[in-house]
Amino acid sequence: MSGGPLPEVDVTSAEFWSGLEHGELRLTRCDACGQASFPPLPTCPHCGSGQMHTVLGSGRGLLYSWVVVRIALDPEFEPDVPYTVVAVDLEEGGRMLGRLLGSAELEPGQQMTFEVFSRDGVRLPGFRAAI
Amino acid sequence: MRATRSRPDFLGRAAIAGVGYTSLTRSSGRTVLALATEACRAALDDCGLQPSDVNGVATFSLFNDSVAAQAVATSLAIPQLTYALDLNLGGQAPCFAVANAAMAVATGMADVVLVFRALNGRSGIRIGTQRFAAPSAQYRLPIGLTAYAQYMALWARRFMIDTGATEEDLAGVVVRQRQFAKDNARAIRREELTIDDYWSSSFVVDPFRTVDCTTEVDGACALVVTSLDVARGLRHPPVTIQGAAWATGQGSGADIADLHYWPDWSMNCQAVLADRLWKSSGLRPADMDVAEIYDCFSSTVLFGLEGLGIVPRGESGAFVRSGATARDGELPTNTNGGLLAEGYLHGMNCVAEATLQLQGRCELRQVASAGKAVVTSGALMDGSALVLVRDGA
Repeated sequence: MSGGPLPEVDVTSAEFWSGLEHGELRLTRCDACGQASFPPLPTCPHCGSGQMHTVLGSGRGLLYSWVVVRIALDPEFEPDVPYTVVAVDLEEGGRMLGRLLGSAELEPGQQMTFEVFSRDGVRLPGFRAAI
Repeated sequence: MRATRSRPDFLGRAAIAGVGYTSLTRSSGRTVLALATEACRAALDDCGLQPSDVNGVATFSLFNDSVAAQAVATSLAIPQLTYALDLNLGGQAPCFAVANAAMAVATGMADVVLVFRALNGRSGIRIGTQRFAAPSAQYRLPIGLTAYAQYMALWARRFMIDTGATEEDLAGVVVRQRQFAKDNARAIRREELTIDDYWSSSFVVDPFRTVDCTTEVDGACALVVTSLDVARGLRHPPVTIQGAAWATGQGSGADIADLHYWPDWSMNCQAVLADRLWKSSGLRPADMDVAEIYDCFSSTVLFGLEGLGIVPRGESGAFVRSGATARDGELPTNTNGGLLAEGYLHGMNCVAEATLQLQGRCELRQVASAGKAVVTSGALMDGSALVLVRDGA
């Protein structure tokens, strides 16, 4: 048990986090402009509308950037190093951060697939390189 | 209706008159208030003013790592402040704080404004290992994206993908700045760094090695801002605030480390504000003699050179490696060794170094006939910049 910061869930983010408990990627989509976004905000960051509803993401996306953490800058993550954090542009729209699951030679723009993983019993967002 | 002016009318009317520093150390053994007070007093002594001449104080802090304007006004026994500014910002702030001080002076809110940054950034609250508690932190911290270096590395990687910049280009920045630091007695990393030393430095978070990251320090730095007329009667040549810009671009996010909504991680706030900055100053990149570009990490120098339009996109690395940013180059850049080598006063020292260069006070690292400088603050979604000109240059 290495511990670590727990997600500080709020009213706006609760749907996303409870989605992870069901293995689902829940995004918000704006009724006014149709754009999906991540992370959830009370209003649409693209047009300012307050008409948002939850949609199920496909989990598919393209790799935008990544980092390999070699030295943990937080003692809670020392047991995890080295580990990779990826930024993925989701098919529906929105850019999401997650842990890279499995090993892969990463290339910008490559297909990634969302997958929930557990760290010390906490369900968290991850991505795996699509085969 | 927009009434924003291409040249806000406070510009050209206020000047930086004095600069004060404490020593920069890894453990000051002193309170932040003691550091702030010493730097502010030094800045006043530097230009020949007294605390009783001061009626404005501006500062910034992050995660309560500093002291308020009010505290320094008290410790300096300033009779009364008619202007005080406490910004809840980090490295985005110094140029903006100086611009605000200039506005206060130009509008008659204050006569003499101290602008300072003080912190025990090494022995006290260390930004590099802080978990930035913030609205969007829940999406970063639990997966292990916990530190500033890691956010910046995500941007550096994308910059390298989009512009073709390489690790050699990052190395070029670090090696060049160490050459400046050798001639800066204040710098915390003064030892020479060869290209081989760079390659043998261990990775913290790819693509950053230890030497790509700034050095956290304890210390303080202060500037005196007053009207150009008053400054002309003081000890050093006035350094006029000729151009200034702030930008919070669209998709700036919910907090200082919320990267999600910023569309292009290969361009930061400096690219957003560049056009307004140059228009506000009436000058162009080619007019600059010196650049002090906010360099919490090596990559941000490349972002700045390209974002400000000093070099075309994709050419900053070659520009640095060509020697163009050396003391005798086309545009000497980060002439105190930058935040990488002098130490991390969150960019207040970038403005201070530009001032000292324009006043001709940099001794061994002095750039010949430096009259105009560009300074930046901030390297992510929001930030600020200044164009400074020595009076008469």
